[in-house]
Amino acid sequence: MLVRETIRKLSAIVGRERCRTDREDLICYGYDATDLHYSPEAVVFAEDVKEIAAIVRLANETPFYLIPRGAGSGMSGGSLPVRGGVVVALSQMNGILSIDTENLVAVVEPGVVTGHLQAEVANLGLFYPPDPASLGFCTIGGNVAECAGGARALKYGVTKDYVLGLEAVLGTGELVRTGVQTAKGVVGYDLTKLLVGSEGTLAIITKVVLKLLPQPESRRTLMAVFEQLGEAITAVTRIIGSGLLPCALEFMDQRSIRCVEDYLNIGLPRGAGGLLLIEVDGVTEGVTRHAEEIRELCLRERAQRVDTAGSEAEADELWQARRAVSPALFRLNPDKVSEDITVPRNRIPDIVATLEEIGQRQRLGILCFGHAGDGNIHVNIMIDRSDSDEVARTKQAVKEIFEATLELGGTLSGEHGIGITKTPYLGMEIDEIGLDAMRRIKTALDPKGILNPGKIFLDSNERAAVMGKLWKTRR
Amino acid sequence: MSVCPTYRETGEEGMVARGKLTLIEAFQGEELPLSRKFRKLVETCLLCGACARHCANGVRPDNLIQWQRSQLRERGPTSWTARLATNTLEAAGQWPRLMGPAASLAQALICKKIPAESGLHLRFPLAVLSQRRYVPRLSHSPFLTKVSDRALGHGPKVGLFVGCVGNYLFPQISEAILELLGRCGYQVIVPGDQRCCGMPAWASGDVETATALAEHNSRVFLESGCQWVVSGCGTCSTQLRTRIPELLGGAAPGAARFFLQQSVDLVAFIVGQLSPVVLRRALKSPGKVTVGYHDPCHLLHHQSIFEEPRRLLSLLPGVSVADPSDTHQCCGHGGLFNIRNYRLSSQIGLRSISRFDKSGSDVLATACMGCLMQLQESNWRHNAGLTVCHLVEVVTGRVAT
Repeated sequence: MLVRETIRKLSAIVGRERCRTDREDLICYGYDATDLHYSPEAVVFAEDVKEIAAIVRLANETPFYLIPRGAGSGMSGGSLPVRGGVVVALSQMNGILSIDTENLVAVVEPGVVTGHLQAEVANLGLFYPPDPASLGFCTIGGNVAECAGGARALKYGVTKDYVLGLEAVLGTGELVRTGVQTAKGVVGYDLTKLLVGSEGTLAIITKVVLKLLPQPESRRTLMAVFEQLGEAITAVTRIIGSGLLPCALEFMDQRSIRCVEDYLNIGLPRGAGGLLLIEVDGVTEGVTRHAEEIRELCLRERAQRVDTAGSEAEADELWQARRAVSPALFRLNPDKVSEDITVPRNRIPDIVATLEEIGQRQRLGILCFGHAGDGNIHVNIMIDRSDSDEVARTKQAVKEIFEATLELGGTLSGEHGIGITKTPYLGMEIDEIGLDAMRRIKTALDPKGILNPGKIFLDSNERAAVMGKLWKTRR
Repeated sequence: MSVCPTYRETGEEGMVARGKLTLIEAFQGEELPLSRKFRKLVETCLLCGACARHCANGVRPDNLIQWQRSQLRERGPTSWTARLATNTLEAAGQWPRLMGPAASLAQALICKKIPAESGLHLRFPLAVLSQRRYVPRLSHSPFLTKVSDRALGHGPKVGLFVGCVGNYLFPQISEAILELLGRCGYQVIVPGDQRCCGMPAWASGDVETATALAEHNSRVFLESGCQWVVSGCGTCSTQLRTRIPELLGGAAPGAARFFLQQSVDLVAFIVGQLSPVVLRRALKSPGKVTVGYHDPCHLLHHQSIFEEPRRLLSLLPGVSVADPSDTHQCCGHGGLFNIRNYRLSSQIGLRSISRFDKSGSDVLATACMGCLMQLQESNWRHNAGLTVCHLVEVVTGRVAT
C-alpha cells in the first residue's frame, strides 16, 4: 500500500495535477486491450526524463512498483498493474523532437502516436514502416516495449528493425543511452535490442531514435479469392518462392470471410475458402509489373477472382475487409481468445490443418487470419465465457495449438508479447537455462524488481493465479 | 481512440469512450460512488459521435453518455451548466440571479428577449461568466418576428426550421436560406411558433424538456401543412431527424415517422431533390475564391452527409474547394461543452481552424450554427484571417472576402 507520504512525494515530482489517486483514474488506468483489469494505487503523468528518473529513484527508496504505460493498446496485458503500484502514463510525452531528412533518422518521445509519426514523416517524403493494427492510437514507446509488428513486416520487418538508439531510465533510476544515431554501430553490447521487447521490465523508455526510409513511389493492392484455403496458402508459397516480395501478404479463412461479409456486406463470396490481400510497393514500373505477375500467379493457383485496386480509395476498400475482421468476430460470440502464433512460412499449411483438427475435436469455432507472408497467424477462438465447459475446452485447445506451433519450429507470439496472458506458457518455448539468463539480466538492471512486476517470469503459484484469471468462467 | 477530439488533446483515458464506458459500468455496478469527478468526466464529451461512427461493434458511446447524464440529473444537484440546462423551461425569472454581479445589465436585458427554452439561453448570460471572448452580436429583430407564418414563393411546401442561432444571432443566414429555397422552386413556410430543437436540453440529460420541445415542434410543423421540414443547422436537423422519432416514437408514431422521413438537412435536401442543371441555375457563385468546408459532426457522424456539400460547392464557377491534408476534426463546440470546458474547447478549435488556414482557404464554410460560432471565435482568437460563414452564404453569392 502506498502511504500518504509517498503520494505527497510523487506530487512534489510531477505536480499535484499530474499525480492522481481518484478512483476514476485508478479504474481508467487498470485495463488495456485485453479483457483484464487490475487496479493501480496511483497514476502519474510524466512530462520529461528528469521526472521519470526521480520517480524511479523514489520507487527504489520507498519501495513501490512502477508500470509504464503508453496508450493501453497491448494485446497481452503488458501495461496492466497486476501487483498494484504506480502507473507511469507516458501519453503526454508526445513530442517529435527531430526528423533528419539527410540522415533519415527521427528522434521522438515515447508517447508519440505511431500513426501521427507516420503522417509527419510522410509529409517530408519519408516512411516509418511498422504498422500495428492500432496505429491510430498506439504509441511508439509501447511499440518499442512490445516490439510491435504489423502487416508490412514481411518486407520491412518489425519495430526492432527501426530502433537505432534509446534513452531510458533503468530500474535503478540511472539514465542510460543506448545505440547510435547512425546507420551502423557495433560498440559494446547491443543494449538497444535488449530493451526493445523487454515489456517495461528493464527500463522506462524516454526517447527513441528511429530509422526512416524513403517513401515508396507507389503502391498497388490486390485481393485474390480462392475456393480452398489450401490453394490460397499454396499461392503464398509460390509468390514468395518466385522472388517477389510484397510488402503485405494477408490471408483470411472461410469463417473470417463470412463473418466480415455478414457485417459489412461488401460482396465477398461467402462460399470462398480463403482470401489473400496482397500489397506491393516500390518504383511505379516495378509495382505495375509485380502486381501483374502476382495476379497471374494467383489465377494459375486457381484463384476464383483477383481484384486490383486502381486508386487509393479502392485499395482502402480492399483493406477494409481485412481490418474489419477483429471487430466483426464479436458477432459470433461475446468473448474472444486471441493468439498470434508464428510458424516458418512453409509450415502454414500444416498449422492451418492442425488448427482445423483441434477446432473440430474440441467443438470450437477457430478463425484464422493474419500475416500469411511472415507466418504470423492470428488464431481467434470466439466463445461464451458463461459456458464453463466451453472455457475448459478452449483452454485445452490453446495448449494444443501452442504445442503444435512449437513442434513446427514456430513461436508462441509473433508480435503481441508475453505480458501476462502468455506467462503460463513461456516455459514451453524457453528452457530453464534461457529463462535463468533472462532473470539474471532482469536482476542486473532492476535489482529491486521495481519495474512492471508480474510479467514474463512468474513462479508456479503466480502462474496458477494467472491461469485462473485467464480461464475464468463468467457468472 | 484515434478519433476522439478530447482524447487527442488530453491523452487521458477518462476522456475517451473506452474510459467513459468503463466508468459508467463501474458506476452502474456500484463499484464507483457518485463523485464530482465522475460527473465532470461524463460531462466532458462533445457527443460528436465520431467514436460511434467508427465503432465496428455498433456501440453508441454518445447515447450511453447522454443516458448517464439523464440518470445523474435525476440524482440531485449537478454541475451549474447542466443545472441551467435542466431549468430551461421555467428559468426565465432566475437568469439575473444566476448571472451574478459579473453579468452586465444590458446583456441581461437582451437575453430576456430570448424565450427561456432556447438553447441560446444557456449561452449568452454565461458568455460573460465563462471566458468566451467572441460573441456574435444579437440581432435587434429576430428572424421569426419578421417572416413568421407567411408562405413565401410557389411550389412544393417546405417548412423551415430556423433554430435559435438562425433566429437571434444570424438572421441573415436564415434569409439566405429563404432566398435559396425560393430560387430552387419551393414554397417556404416558416411557422412562427417553432421553438428550440431541444438538443441542448437532450445533450445535458434533460429528456423531459427535450420531449416537450419535440412535441411542440412536431405539432407546429405538422399543422403547417408542409411536405418537408428543412433546417440549415446540422445540430437542429439531427435533433429533428433522429431524436424526435426516438422521443416521440411510442406516443406519436405518426409524427415520429414524419420527422424520420421528411425532415432533412438543407444541403442534403436540395442536392438530393434537384438535378445539377436546376441547382446550377439556383446557385449564385461568389466568384474566384478558395473555400474550405468544415464537416459538422452532426452531419458527418450522425447523418453521414459528406458528399452533398462538396457537390454543391463544385457547381459554383470560380470556386475551388480546399482539401486539408489531415483528417476531419471536430470544431470543439459541443454546445454546453464549450462553456463547461472552455479551454479544452478552444484547444480543439485551434486545431480545426489551423487545418484550413494551412490549406490555403480564403473562406471557411460550414453547415451548422454551433460550428459556425465556434469557428468564428477560433478564427478571431488565433488571427487566422479566414472568412468564416455558412455554406448557404457561399452558394447564394453573399460571402465577401
